[in-house]
Amino acid sequence: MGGCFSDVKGGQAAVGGGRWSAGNAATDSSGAGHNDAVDFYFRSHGLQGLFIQIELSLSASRLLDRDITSKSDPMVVVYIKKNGALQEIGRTEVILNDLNPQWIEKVSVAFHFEIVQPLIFRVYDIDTKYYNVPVKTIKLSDQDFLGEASCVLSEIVTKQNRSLTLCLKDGHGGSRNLGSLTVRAEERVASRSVIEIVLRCSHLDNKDVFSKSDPFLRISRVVETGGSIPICKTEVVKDNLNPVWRPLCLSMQKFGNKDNPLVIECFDFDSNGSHELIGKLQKSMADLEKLYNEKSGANFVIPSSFHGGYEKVLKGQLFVDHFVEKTQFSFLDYISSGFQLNFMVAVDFTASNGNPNSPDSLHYIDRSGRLNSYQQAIMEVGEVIQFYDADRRFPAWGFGARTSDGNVSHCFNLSTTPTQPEVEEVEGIMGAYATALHNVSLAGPTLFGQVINKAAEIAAHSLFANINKYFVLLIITDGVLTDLQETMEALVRASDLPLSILIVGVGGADFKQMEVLDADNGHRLESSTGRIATRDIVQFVSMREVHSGQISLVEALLGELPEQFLNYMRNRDIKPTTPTSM
Amino acid sequence: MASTNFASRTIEITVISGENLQVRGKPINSDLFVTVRSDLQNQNDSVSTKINRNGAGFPRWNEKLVVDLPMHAAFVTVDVCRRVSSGRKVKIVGTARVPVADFVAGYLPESHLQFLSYRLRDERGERNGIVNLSVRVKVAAGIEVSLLQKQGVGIPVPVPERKFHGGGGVVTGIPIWNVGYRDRF
Repeated sequence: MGGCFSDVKGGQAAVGGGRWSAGNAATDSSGAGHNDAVDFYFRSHGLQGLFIQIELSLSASRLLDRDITSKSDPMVVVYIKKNGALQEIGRTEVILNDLNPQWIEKVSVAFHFEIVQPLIFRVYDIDTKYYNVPVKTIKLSDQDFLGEASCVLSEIVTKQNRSLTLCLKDGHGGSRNLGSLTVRAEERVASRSVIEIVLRCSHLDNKDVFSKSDPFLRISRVVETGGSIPICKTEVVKDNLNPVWRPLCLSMQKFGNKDNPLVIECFDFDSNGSHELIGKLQKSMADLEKLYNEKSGANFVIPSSFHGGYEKVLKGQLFVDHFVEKTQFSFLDYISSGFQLNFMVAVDFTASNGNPNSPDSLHYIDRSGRLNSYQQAIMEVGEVIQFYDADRRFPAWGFGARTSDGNVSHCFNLSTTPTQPEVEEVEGIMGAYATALHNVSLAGPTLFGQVINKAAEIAAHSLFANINKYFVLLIITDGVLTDLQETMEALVRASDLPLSILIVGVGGADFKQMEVLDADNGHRLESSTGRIATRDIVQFVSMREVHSGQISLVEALLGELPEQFLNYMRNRDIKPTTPTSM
Repeated sequence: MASTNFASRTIEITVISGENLQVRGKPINSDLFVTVRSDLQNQNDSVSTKINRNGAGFPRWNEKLVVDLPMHAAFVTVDVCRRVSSGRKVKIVGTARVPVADFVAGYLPESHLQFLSYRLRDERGERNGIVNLSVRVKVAAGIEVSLLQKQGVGIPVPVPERKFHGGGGVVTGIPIWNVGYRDRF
């Protein structure tokens, strides 16, 4: 829909009000009991000892204009310097056509009192063609550099208003004025409270000449030390003076507390970035709850340009159609109360991998111990997930090979026992993989359907016994699917099960097809019968692309997993079994 | 009802929400409600939700409907409707046909809550939105259920390949462990 707006679509999307933010996991250290998986979670995030979780909000002014016909579209990438090396800790969203942006997405960082933590901020102008791409995957080398700034985390934290303005430099010692960047630090509130809210407006002023306004809302939290921090914006509703926006889900981390004043501004979207203010008002969450209960509206006001401080009351009103306060448990709450991730692996044994005895084969096992791509993927992902799996027995399959009975199988056990797909520990998978290479001959075609159905069956069977297991299937493949439709059907059927599927593409093939299965761009998978995937359960990563970028394979693959897990549990109202301290 | 020879089962369908509902490419702003019935019942026997007044094509009903499903019913028909000409006439905006096999398939525990979403199509067959449902089959006392559960826990049943018609969108290959299928013979 709206094909003619495809360029600005990214700019019209909602930010910060998403339903399933899993990012609050690291704040909940207080509630977690002792547990291997929890310890591992913290260690893998580089968190040891005492720390305070800090959130950085960023804004800039007078940025350099790099675009010719419009203004720059800036994004900030934040790095921390550890042992001399830069490590990326987060990115903001991209703001369209704005030289004085206020970013909504926060970057969190663990503040260690006893360590000097140098931070580097780099601002980039993002090319239009990346607008619908998740910001994590944007290649920075393809973007225009707008300047960088650096400081030490404690410098920001010790400022009275917790905010520090830095001059942007070109990074080569040049003295050109590239504008400034303001960083504000705030301690994260450890809270599981979230509010789901539906906002609507009526009788908004019309700002467009040929059609009606295209309104969206921006909500900012007023801060004690002065000013306000944007916490979310809604999607744009086109050509409508009585818009209803999709439900927003705001956590206490975002809005502070129920009495903290929030500034709600309504803008008319303009693709050139100069969104015109339709009206604004100030209400706390408690006020909004009252509006909901009384079913009454609040009038917008607009600051008059002629009389200082005078505000004109508008006819346009804000209504609250839905207001629910919920407790939302984090990934760690589940893991620490005994929920498990159960790991499964499926390896591609099709002939396109090349003869395993030849060194240029993707399946070539090097005597020197250097791992091939399949081994790398198994090791890297297995090493992380095994901590969340109590018995460490993993089903391992192969597909696309001729087995000892002479037939091509699209789901055979890697272990030598035909009735027992499970092997022990990650080493067990590695061993079974190497043996299988000797025992089968590579064939084809590449079919995922049977492997996915098998994993779905196991996930479904677990539901008879208990609800605290979640399954993760890793499929490693070198190529193009023959059964794309059958795979989609299998994925749609599996989408309501406690299952996530990670697909790693190895070798040089074109993996366009896999991107279709990974519904990252908001398109939900659809089967030929019209059933639609309940949720996105697939994450695809091409090994070649990961190795050229800055994030590791594991990060790229597992990044969405906690969210997919939470999405499943929350949707069904499954709560952690033992209550942790609130 | 046509199904006098066979027992029926009770299902709870919660109509959660609609997404991107459109009439001729434009989001629907008018008041919408949803009706649900099996393919063996006619429109008059359907149960319906209350009217939702949310606009912009993303209505939320969140309403639980109880439907009596004859054992040999193959589909549940979900219609998103609106009232026209001062509320006297009902017009169907979009329809989804939900195969019964999607929620009684034997490899899940009976009474397991399932979240299912379906494509809506208008009377001309054009896609015009998505409807999100949750379905729970009420467990009726009887041999059928316990048998099924035993089978489910015991031996893993291989998932047979399903075949689909290209255009009609009707499931023809129904798994052998499917209850509805067994009852037909």
